[in-house]
Amino acid sequence: MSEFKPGIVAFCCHHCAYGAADLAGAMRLAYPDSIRVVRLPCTGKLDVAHVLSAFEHGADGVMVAG
Amino acid sequence: MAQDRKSTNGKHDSVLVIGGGVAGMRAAADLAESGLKVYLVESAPGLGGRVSQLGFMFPTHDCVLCRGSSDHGYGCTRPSISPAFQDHNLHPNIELMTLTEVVGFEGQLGNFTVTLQRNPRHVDPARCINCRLCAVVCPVSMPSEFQMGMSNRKAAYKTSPRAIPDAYVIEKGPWCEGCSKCASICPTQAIDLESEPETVTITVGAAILALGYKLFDPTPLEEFGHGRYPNVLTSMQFERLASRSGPTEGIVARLSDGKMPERIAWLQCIGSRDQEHPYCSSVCCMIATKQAMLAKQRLENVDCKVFVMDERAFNKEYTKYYNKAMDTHGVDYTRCRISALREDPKTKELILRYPDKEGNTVTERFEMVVLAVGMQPPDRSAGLAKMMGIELNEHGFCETDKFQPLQTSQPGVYVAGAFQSPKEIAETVLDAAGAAGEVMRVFHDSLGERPAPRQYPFLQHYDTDVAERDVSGEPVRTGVFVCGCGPMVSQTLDLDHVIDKTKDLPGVVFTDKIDLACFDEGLDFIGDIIRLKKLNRIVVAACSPRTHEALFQKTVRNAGLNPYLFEMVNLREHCAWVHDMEPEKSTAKAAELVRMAVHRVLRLEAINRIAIQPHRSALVIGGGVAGMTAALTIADSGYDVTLLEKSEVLGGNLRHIYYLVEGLNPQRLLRDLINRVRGHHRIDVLTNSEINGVSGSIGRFLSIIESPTPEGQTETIEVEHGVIVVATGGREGTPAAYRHGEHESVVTQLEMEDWLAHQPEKLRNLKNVVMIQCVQPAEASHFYCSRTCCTNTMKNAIRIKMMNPDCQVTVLYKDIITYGFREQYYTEARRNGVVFVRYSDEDPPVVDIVEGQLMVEVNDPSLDRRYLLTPDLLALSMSIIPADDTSKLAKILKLPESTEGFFLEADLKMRPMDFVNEGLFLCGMAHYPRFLEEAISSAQAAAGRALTVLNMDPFYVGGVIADVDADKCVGCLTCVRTCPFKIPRLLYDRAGVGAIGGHAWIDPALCQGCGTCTGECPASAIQLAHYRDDQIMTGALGVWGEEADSGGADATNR
Repeated sequence: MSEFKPGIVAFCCHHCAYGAADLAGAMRLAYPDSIRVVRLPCTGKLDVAHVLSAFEHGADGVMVAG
Repeated sequence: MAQDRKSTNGKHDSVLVIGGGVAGMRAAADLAESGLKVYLVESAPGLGGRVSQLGFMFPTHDCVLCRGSSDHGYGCTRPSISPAFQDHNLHPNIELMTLTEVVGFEGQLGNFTVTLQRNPRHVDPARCINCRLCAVVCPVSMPSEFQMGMSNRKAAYKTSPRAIPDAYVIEKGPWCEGCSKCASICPTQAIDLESEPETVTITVGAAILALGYKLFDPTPLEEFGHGRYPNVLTSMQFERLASRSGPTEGIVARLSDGKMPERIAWLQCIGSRDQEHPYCSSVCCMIATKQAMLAKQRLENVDCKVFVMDERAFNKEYTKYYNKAMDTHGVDYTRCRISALREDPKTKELILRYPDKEGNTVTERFEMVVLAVGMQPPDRSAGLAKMMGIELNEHGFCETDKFQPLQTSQPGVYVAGAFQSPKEIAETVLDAAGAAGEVMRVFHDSLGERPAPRQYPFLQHYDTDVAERDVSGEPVRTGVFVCGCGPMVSQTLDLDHVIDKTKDLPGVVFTDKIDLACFDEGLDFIGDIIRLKKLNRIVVAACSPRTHEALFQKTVRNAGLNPYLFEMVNLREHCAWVHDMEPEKSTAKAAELVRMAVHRVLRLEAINRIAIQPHRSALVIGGGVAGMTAALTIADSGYDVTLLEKSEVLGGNLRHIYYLVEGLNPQRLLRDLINRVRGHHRIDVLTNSEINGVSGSIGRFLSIIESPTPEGQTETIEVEHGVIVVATGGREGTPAAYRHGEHESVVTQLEMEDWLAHQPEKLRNLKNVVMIQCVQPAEASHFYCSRTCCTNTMKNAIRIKMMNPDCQVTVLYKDIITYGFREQYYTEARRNGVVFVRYSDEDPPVVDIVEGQLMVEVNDPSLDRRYLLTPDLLALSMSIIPADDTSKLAKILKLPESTEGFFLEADLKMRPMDFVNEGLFLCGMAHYPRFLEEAISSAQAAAGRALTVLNMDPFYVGGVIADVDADKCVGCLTCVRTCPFKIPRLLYDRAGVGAIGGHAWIDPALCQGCGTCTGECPASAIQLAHYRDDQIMTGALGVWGEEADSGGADATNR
């Protein structure tokens, strides 16, 4: 348990949060490699089932940004 | 250079748009959609203009970075100008020329020869991959114009992170020593430092001037110390400071010591409303209000004080916004014009002196002072105007006729935005759409000749290209292309490892590396492999889909595949660039990201849009000046119009306006409009008629109209049309105060105008006239500024003074709203001896009748002095209210209303003439009170927008949209309630699950594809195409394990 690195699924709106993640790249900001961005047309698209499913498949955390 | 072309009538039909700010972008997008060729010329390296520098817009506080210039489609709840400006997918009818100046202009309407000087960018945008290496090695450090000199940039730079074109630029000015380090390091050899300016000549039929404005430079005004005192900023500098993309990333700190200020003052009217600039810049009051609110949000315990003469909050929702600044945020407004300030050299504080409410002089210290600088005509506009043969007004802005507000003195040349008069974003957008509408009217023969159906993101008309292959039934054959992005991805990630992990995934039959997938060679390679290997699913692992998805989708489509059988993996922005210190882990992540995409692409299906043939006609509701103007613009462009008027005559409010403050005769315009409308063979006028119901959607509406027959009966007519323009107007509110109705000498301004026009002899007997501004009508639940009344009062006051100079005229007001060049009539009224007395909301004037004599008592808060006036005429400026039955019509058309009761548009700033409900457009006073010239330009804007729809044949709808499975729907109305666009509705005559009556239906022509309903539907009866649950969850599926590869879908087509 010395180095617990949570796996995080980030559900991002295509129009804003996904763009912000792009900007983070363009600015060469660093963040942990255990984050997976899933692009949605709008965070309104997110269903509770998607969040649960992410946990079910091994995510330690879920982030919704939009 | 694209070939120019003559249309059938011998005219050149291309359009030159000068200026790439919001106005130029809006005009170019609309013209392009209507099928005309557009040259969009901008002198800066990128689009966006001044608006791109703003962090937030009032009163919505939306970020402009996204809205002004991004790829927001109309599908997002936060709309922008147009998806036409996606980089790598620019509208095919737009030829964008940045760093370009107009150096020659001659000819006439239909045939202008334009000489353009294209200055070198030194970076080929087609080869720039935004790796920023040129900026890293550039040794130059120079002040950044974008950050208003508050931080430095390199000579090799990008104007903003999401610039259009999306590429760097190298400025070889005095700062650059020509060391060529940028050219040496560029991995794609995109830099050519030797390139020289080029001169090109184009022929166009018309031009739109969208030059914008220049900010007033306060540095020469020594009394304000800008440039000497570090804590005196201009409003644009504060804007950058408070912006998330600013030099401090949004932290408002003093430039002298980095301390967060606790007291900030805004000084209004710097470079406006003075001797040299006798006009109002229209936006600074609202900018200061916005900035003070932002400061309150960003800084704890900050005192914000705005020193203002009149708070000009005169547009929709602005009164509410101004009240919020005072009541919720505690922003203090002091009615005073500050003429000088001093700095304490030790603390760098600024010392202001001003009179307080008791008249005592107060000395107050501020830690930061913001100068609200005004608008001036843009640089080089005088020379350009001379070259183009355009008259300027005395202030150097473009002169236009009130009855043709967007037409310059040169036929065929139109103007939009702040170059016509200082104005805010929404008005600028209206002008731009209106100017585009006027151009469409003139070139109606050519409309639609360059068809560009709304096939975002595929604007190319690919019916001429390869036929689409039907892949259903084929086993999945996925090709995975991994792009190294020059060295930008491959230097961090081990792409061979990624490919090794990918090649045995389900469905994958081909994998390869590409050095630069987005270059022509890369795109050709992908296309060739698709054909050669008979691929039917494509994954490109490269950079962001936000910038490049459309480009690859076009390639996929041109290789004969449906463009939705494609998925992009963002290895650059989301992997290599953010984990570059850990190559092994990022390589492992890259392999997982590709696997996620491979599983997703397995489940993707072809999506085809639906082509509909729109009815090529319009319904215009309202026969006032706005409705008639819109009807004429559409009818002149070759489409039939049904013009509906509730009353028995055309003309609306204009029938009661007898003179304008500018001295023109509006009755002449009214006669002209009515004659043209009545005589137009394409306009069917229905008076005494009302709409009773409407069905259908954009392109195909069916309206039910109640109209009288010549025999005096009422008949019900059905009219088919493709678009609706709402121009129902407003009217003067009904007085419910100040003894109106109790004394014959208390009248409204409109009643007085009638009387001034028809019985001027009565004026001779008048000795004392009082006018009260801002009278809340009986119909309004709260006060809002109707923006036209102050100028109207000036008009009538000046007229009284002109005809009877001995008559005393006193105006009781709260704030004088004479924005733009109307300020000169305020000055004229004061010169003519009209007395202005301020009153406050807390202590409004009191009107009494004593023995038949009117007595008006008022307290002037700035002088704390009470006045007793005995007028023989009292005129009330009533707020303008929406037309009667606006709410009823809103329900029939399913349109929202604003807090003031006017129709509510799609977006207050970027889409003031559109409704969220596509195919419906808004203009005139149905939107908000406005002047005659504003009503005309907004009508031209609504008509222009309507024409972009009418010109499309066929019109494509659908795509990534939500679809209801009727067999699962219980008709619970959850989708109806949650849809941000109010699109779903219940079809009561259809059976849902278990044959229950009524299931939800989502009109494919209207669905915006956000998917909110699908997430909320309790029965999971709605699915969003391309984002079905199983398609989304492959994203998270198996990310941290290998089970997905065995448990995933089988590799055959569904």
